[in-house]
Amino acid sequence: MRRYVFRRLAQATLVIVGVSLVVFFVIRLSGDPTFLLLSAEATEADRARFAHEEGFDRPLVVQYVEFVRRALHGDLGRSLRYRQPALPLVLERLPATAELALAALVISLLVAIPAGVISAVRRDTAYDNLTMLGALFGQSMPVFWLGIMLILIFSVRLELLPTSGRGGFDHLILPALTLGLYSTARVTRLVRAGMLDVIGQDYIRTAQAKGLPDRRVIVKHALRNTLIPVITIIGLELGTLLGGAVITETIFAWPGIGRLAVTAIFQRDYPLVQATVLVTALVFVLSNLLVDLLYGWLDPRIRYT
Amino acid sequence: MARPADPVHVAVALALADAARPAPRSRRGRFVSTLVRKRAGVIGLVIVLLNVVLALSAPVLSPHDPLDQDVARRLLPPAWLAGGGPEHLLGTDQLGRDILSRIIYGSRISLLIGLLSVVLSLPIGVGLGLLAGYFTGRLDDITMRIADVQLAFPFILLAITIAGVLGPSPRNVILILAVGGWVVYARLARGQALSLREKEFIEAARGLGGGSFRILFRHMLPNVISPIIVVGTFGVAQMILLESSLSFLGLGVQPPTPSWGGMLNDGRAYITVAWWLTTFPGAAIMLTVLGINFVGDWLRDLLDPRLQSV
Amino acid sequence: MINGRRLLGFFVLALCIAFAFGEALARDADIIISQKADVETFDPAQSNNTSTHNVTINVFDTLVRLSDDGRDFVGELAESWKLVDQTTWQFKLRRGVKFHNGEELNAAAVKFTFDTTMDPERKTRQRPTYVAFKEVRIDDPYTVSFITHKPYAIALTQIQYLMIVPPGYIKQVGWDEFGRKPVGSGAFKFKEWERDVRVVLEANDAYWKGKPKVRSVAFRAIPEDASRIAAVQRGEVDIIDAVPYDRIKELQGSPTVKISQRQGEQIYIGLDTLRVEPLKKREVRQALNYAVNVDALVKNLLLGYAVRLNGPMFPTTPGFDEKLPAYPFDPERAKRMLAQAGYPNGFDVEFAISPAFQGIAKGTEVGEAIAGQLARVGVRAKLNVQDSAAIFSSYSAKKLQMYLFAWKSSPEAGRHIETLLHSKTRGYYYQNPEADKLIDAYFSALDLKKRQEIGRELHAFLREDAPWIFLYQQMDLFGVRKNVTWEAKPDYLMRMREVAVTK
Repeated sequence: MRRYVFRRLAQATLVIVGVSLVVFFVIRLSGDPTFLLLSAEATEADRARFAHEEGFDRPLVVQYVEFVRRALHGDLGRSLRYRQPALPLVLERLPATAELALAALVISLLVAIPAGVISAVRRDTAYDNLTMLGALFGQSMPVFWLGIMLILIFSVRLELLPTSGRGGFDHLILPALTLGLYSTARVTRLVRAGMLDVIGQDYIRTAQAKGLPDRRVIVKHALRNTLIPVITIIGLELGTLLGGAVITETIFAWPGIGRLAVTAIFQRDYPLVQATVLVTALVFVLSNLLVDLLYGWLDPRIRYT
Repeated sequence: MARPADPVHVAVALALADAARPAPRSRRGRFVSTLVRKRAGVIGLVIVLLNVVLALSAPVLSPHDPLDQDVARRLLPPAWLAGGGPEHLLGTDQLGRDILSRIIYGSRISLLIGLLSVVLSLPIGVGLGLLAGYFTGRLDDITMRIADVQLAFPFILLAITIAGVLGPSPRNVILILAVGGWVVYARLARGQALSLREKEFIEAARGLGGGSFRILFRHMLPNVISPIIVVGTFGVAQMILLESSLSFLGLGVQPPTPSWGGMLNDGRAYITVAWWLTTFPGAAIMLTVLGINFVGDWLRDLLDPRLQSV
Repeated sequence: MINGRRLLGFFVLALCIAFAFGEALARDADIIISQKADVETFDPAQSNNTSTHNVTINVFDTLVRLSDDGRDFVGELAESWKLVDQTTWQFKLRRGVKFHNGEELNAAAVKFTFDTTMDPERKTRQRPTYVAFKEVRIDDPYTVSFITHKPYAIALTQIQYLMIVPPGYIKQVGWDEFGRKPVGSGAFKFKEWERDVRVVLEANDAYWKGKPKVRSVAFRAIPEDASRIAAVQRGEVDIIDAVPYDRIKELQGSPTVKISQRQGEQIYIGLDTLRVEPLKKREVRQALNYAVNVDALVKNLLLGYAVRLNGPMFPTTPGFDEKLPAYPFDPERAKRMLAQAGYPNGFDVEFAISPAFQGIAKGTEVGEAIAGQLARVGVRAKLNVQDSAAIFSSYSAKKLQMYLFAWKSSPEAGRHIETLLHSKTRGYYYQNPEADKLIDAYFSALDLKKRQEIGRELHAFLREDAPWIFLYQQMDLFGVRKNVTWEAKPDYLMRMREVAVTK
């Protein structure tokens, strides 16, 4: 087991190094931020001097070597726009991102697991069909539309909740609902599928033959075994939620990593982009590892060599 | 030796298993269930065919030229509301263009993008996955790590760079989506290949002196094809939705070419003033995605017996 | 049952986390302003962003400020100034002004501010703004001279944005800390800043102009238009910027919100007169100006919130002649001119637009509409939508053929004429030695009357030579709660000292 963990960690390091390499070159190929940073009156001479001072005009490989050298000392550079060290800028957004992602995940699980289970038990009934239809709609609804609609209804019209921003619990509800919809839909379908798969298997039939009451059978045995792949899905969802909440964060002015990353990319703030990608890649890789370990713990049949 | 479950593979396999269920016990039950499934499949097929018809005969069916601007007649509501008229059944957009016509023409781009990006990424993904799963070892490790790197990489950055370096055109949108999409097919094919390679008939083929590539093509591929096709159908739906996200970032199909994703994005600024700009393209997307999913379900049923054996 | 209990526990845990980390974002200041973007840094020399300036202008002071009519300058920290010779502007500073930490604001502080802004080691973003100045000289503890390289008519325009920083405090804590926790001399003191969440400033009762009418001012960034408007409608914030034109009618009918407006950016279409064959010809460029129906754009797309321009100057730029007619909309004439220039069937050209470019309102729509209008005279403009950074990269790499751009700063100076149309400053797409001569003369004419005279000539010349397709100046619109007395000012800055909240 320990060997497996070490091997995975080694591979994870490789992945992160690979990502940093790709990001480094890709972001520089996509344009430079000179005119965005300098005042509108900057002349060509100003632009050239700025590019030279920041080292943009050196060969890319040279720049990369410099970056790696500093990174090994923990220095991921300074944000070009905010003029502050890049890594702390990213890390200070983690709590907000985690809060929103967790809330969205909790909501989606609370809805999706019961919905998926009941749907599986009552397959092909009206309930099942409606649930599946709802799930399909949930997966294809535009996130910004939902977010703005929720604000218009619950904040402006009904005056029940604040419009945007991060604050107390009431500030969390609408963004979490918006972000969680896609996850809810996806997890519902997967829970249902998993349940159906398990229900059809022999040991369930055995339990039923033994005469145990239906509901107990289903919930106790089927659900427990469905949980394993569901946890895998949760791991995946968490990754998506953490990295892909841009639209929700923009609409609700939520100070998360997603918005920081996208803004940095659009501003070609090279150090900040690199720092955000490294952090998100790390979170992604670690959560994958965690899920795999959890998986092994839950299903005794799985052994890691 | 059991390998730890590959998350993406598991997710995909679960999606596949959505309809894989024990046969209903009574004959009547079986009949009812097939009928219900068939009905959804038929509906799905109808929707998809409708889309194809719309896309192909757009010039004939659409009441106006989708590029025809008339700034003085912008943001007119649909025909059944005050201010609307029969000339623009679904109203006009922010530049006075007919929304119905743009939706009809938009089906072209959306279907094209959805289909082509899958057609592009699927063979590459499957090919790489099969190779990785069959030969394992170094090849497998390298391929999967490249896939990991790509999964950990922010999609937006990829999109911006490709669009920035190659220019934003429908062709490059397809490229962006294909690059983003091959991983799922690769993972799935790899999983299948891994489990298949130990099976008897492969051993037999090898024993008979079959070369690797022969085995791959004649024996592996047919067994992998059916789940791949199903996932591919869902992939089309996903690509259509992703195009809409790309438009949100300004990287989608260039104006004035109408695309559903682009229309959604354009209408975002007008949600409170002119809801029809977002509602109709959004509904078109949802219906199409629904239809494709139904067809996917139906395909799964069709290929069901083969699935069980795998 | 594992599942249920675990879920419940998870839920409760999440609730606790949410409560623990979030603090109520209740109204925490007398006036709350919401802009599209957050402040980037409190180090004034390091940001060129209006959203940042709107915050820092309340913490720091400048030497002069633009008058309310946008044409003249009023003293702030400077009591008076005079032109000692052609290249020396001498300012007499107010006495007794103190920074928030007690430090004295004198000539040394002004020199320090200038020197550190221009210091190559600091690599400040604002350095290009002050390139015309050679040095700042201390004449006596309260008199300072700004010396330019050559006679520079718009020195005051550049100086109006120089925010004076405290040398003592900065030497003590360093620039990084200063950028996070500033000390200035302005009407408000820095209280707290949670990046992308809120900035809170509190009143400086010892302010030299008199204490502010409110006790505190806060800033919250809300990037999404619909959310920002919802916030002001609900009274969560008092002032918002960048109100989209289509929402104006709705807000004007509101019992709680009013609209304040000011002149904003100039929107124009740049043409590559150096490399694209058809655009090398003046007749073709003029034809393009005849082909675009700007009035229809202003009326229908911009709902009247824009002013048609007859040339490259703003209405407040010295030399602007309102009697000069704008190019009338005449597609027939455009077609004739194109045919005469050798393009009877029109030509193809690439048209680059950037939707969010520097606050342009409805950039994509304007671009699409104009492309449609040009198509009617045979000019097939292929739209190429890019993000700001990409379009700027192409711009400086001289790859653009036709591009929709905006210019915002200092309309009263005409600085954009120099930056955009003089061959020595950028020279990417237009180089005309005659224009250069006029522009040089325009910027060295220190006498206002002379300047206006040369300006008129320059304006007419550029209108005739048509390096651009001239469009309009758009309005900036703000949503303000009716009980708040703020009005938008022409210098783009939101000073809060005199703003009051009535009941």
